[in-house]
Amino acid sequence: MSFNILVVDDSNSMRAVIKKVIFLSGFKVDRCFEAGNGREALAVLADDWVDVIISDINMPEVNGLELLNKLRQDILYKEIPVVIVTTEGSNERMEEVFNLGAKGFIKKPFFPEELRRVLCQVIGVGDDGGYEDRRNADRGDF
Amino acid sequence: MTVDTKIEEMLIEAIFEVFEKMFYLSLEPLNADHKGCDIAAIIGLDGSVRGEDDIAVTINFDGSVRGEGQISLSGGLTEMMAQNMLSLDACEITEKDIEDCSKEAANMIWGNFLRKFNADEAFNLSIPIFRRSPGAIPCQGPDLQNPMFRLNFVSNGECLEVIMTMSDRNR
Repeated sequence: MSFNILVVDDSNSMRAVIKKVIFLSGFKVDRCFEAGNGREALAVLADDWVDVIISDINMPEVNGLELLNKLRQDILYKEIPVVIVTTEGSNERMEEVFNLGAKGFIKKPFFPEELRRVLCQVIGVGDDGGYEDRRNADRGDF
Repeated sequence: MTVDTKIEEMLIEAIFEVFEKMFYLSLEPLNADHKGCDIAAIIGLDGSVRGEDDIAVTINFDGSVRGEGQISLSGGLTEMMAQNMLSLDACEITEKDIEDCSKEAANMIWGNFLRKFNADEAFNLSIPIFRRSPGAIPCQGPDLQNPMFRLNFVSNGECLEVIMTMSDRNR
């Protein structure tokens, strides 16, 4: 199974780092979309289906918390798992994002392995990023 | 241990974590022991960052305490940070990459520091402000003219200065 992933962060560099970790982790990615804030993320979602969203909180225009709120209120988007990657890692903020429906939380700075581990949990694939599943599928084991 | 010493320790730890995890760089604190050594002669021990390619990033935070922080980086350090973070060669690094990585560094340093300072509180962090040639530009806020904390580091012959002021919200 391949995934469409949406990375939402106002920092080009951070989006690049997240994308690099995703690809190096062996996730089978069909398309990886990018957005600089929540408004741009919603525009992407209006045109394309995504399987998982990785989002920062502190962004201009529509921030990560507002994005989570809008997703939760939309019947089409509310089931899309969201992983928050942010510098704002207080207990209060973590509770807030989980109450808004986020499925994962990563504090910046992070080691690439941390992002990979949380993504594996959220997407529901093994630590190999789904490689073993794909190999079995190729063999016809499914 | 005084409160200021404890805060300084938390700030140093936050800085080390950011540079190790995101930029794969180890920093060495610059202190009086460095006087007379080559690196101290090159960059100085009093303010450290003076080159034309040097940059500064300023950020504000607000909560039960509020304050302002600034990182000043030598041009070579910003290039190393961008190369390491983005896995790019030196010739591929753009001005935008350097600005982006430097702003992200400031954002992560103070986000990380504030978590250590009070993990139960959600502080507000401003959008970082990036400036070129900090030697020619006064510090952003009046509080940073006389910072409570001033920390200098070296990494591979390049330098980083971190200054911060913070005060109780009600003062």
